[in-house]
Amino acid sequence: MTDFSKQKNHSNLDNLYESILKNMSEGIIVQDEKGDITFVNQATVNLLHYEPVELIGKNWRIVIPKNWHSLMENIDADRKKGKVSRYEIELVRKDKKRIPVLVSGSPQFHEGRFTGTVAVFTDMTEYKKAQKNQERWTARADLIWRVGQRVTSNLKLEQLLNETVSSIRDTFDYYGVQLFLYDEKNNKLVLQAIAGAYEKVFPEKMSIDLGKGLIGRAGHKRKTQVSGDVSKNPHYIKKTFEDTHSELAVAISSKDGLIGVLDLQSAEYHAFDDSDVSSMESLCTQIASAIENARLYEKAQKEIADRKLAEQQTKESERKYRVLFNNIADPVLIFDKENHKILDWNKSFKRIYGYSKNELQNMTPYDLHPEEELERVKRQIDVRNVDYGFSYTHITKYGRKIIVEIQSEEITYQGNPAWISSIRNITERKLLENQLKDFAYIVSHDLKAPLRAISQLASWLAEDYADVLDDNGREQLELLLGRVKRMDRLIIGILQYSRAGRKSKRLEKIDLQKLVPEVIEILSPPENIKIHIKSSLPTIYSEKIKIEQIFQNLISNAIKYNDKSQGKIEIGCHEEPSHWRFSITDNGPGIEERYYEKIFKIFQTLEARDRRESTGVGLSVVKNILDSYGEKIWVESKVGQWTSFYFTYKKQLEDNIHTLNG
Amino acid sequence: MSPSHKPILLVEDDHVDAMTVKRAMKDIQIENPLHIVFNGEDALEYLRDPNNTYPYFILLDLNMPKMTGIELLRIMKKDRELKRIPVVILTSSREQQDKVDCFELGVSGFILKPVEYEEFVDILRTIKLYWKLNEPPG
Repeated sequence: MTDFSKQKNHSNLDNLYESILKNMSEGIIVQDEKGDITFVNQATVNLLHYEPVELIGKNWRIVIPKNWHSLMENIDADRKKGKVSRYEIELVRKDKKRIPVLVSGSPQFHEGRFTGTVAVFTDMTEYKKAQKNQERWTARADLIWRVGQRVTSNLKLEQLLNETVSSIRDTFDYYGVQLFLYDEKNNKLVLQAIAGAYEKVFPEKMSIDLGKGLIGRAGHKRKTQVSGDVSKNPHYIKKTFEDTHSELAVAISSKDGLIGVLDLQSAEYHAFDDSDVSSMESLCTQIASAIENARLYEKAQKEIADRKLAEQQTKESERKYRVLFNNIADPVLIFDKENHKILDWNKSFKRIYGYSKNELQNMTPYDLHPEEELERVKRQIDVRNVDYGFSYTHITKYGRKIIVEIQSEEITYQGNPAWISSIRNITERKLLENQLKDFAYIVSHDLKAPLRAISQLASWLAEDYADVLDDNGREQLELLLGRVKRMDRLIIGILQYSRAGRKSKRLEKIDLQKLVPEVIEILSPPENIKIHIKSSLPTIYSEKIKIEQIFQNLISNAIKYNDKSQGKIEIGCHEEPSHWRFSITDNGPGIEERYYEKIFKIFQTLEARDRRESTGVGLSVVKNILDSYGEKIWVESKVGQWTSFYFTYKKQLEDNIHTLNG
Repeated sequence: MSPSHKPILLVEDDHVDAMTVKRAMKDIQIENPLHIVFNGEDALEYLRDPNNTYPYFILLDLNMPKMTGIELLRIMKKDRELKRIPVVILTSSREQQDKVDCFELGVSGFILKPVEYEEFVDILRTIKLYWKLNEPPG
């Protein structure tokens, strides 16, 4: 530096210096001992945008930002002691923009007295920019490394996204960092993570249509969108929050398609240059793979969790069925559909049959049947048959014979088709049935013999002693014979009743449209009673003789008890989802409600037997037959006007057939 | 009925039932002698006694003490002589099995005992008519 003041009197030199001062690129500011500016050169004017007159005579503080003032005062004090100083500082341009400068300040002395300072300064803007760039590159490398770390260390998607945005925000000091993920179903970008200025402004899960705005376009075109001045960008969507000046939106995508968009916003104009763009793009590649990994990981986790849950549920339901299976009172057996090998059995089965696990595993259901029954069993196995209520004989390990009914359903057992057979031990029931049969036989045979004798002896008395007997004696003998006849009918009734509940083995197809008129014809109703079949009658599967008995009893009752001069009997049939509902309605005397139940009991009649000979067996026979088929019968009536008997019968036998097999 | 000298054997344990047969035979004028025994054993004894002529036919009850009708039939069917005697079952049993067994053992008829006497008379009348036309082996 030249001692300026020493040479001020040389005019030639003055011109030279002036020319140098004017043209040098460094700025020069001269100030007096009080710190007031006395000279500025052209470079200063160019840099600070002030005219010389605006600065001359003003204190240095006009060009130094306030935060630097105390530093400057210290430097000034040193200068007064003769110290030359070099320092970096900022100057304030006329438009308040700060310019970084490197200052070299030399104190001036005249005759030992401090007279002022000459400050030469260099514009450091470009240097600073370069330095900042360098810092950014370092930061980016660091960021990319850190994001890379997340990929391997953090597989929780939400956490990963949050850390990504906050890392970017912290490292680059951007105004706002947002990360949107693509929602393919709704074709929208949905805000997932946010850091910076907009954290409180953007609604949670804010969404942007794909293609709209800078973010939407970046996603749609999968091409980085950058704007140095968003107010001039036609695609920028104005938000209420107005501090954004620059925006950078980078698509995050993989080979499979769009994943999302990373959006950076800055309060500065032209905040993003090419290097920002390329580094953010490379960062987004990493984010993409990080997200993909996290998603795969989460999917895998979910699958594992789902599988665990499913396994647990399966275990629970298996346990439930196992408990049920084991605790059913009836023996239950599962056997393979193909080779018929026994696969599983319950506790009751083991208890009743007595076989060990090892024995059962080498058995088929055939082994449970006696030799003579095998042919029948083999015919039934795997065949859906119209027989039901069929009984079989089983032999237990200890040779005990039991009578069983078997119901089977096809199931899948450990992935293979199998039969599950529920076995009902009806040995006791059969025994009781046989006892009843014996009893009925005893009644019919042994009670009838003395009855016959009484009948015949009475009739011989009447015949052989006709001359001896008076009217009174004859009447008594007639009464005696009448009672014998009644007793005979009661005995026949008991037999009918006991037979009604016994089901035959084979069911046949019965066309009621044919059967009912036949029944009516056999009953040959008197002239004054008209019987009308008002709806067409279906075809059912049953035992013909039983169905005849039902209609015969119900119709004959309607005829027998009719008290009107013009008797009317209507037979109808109503279709219900699974059943037919038959009705037999008459215009007879009706039945009081309190007798609705009683009439179905054996030997119950509503009139004195002497008035109308009736055994009271008919309806009980009907009910017993229907009970044995699991059907219902009931009565509705209005006393003095009408009575309707209703009974049900299953429509589709197929639905009620259980496949029977060994 | 002819030949009228040949007896009719009634195997019946019930006294009144026996009376019924006796009375009905008289009512419709069957003149053949009626011999009554009370069970299968007595019947067999009668049939095997060489002093007795073989009956024209046998009216046999099933349910009897000592030896039932079925048991008697089984024995008779194994006997070369006895198996040729016609047998009509007269019983109160409605059991299907009894009927099947009897016909398998070659009975000529199976009649249910009616409660009323008149009915029985009608039945016996039918038997009489039938036997009038029937030509049994010697």
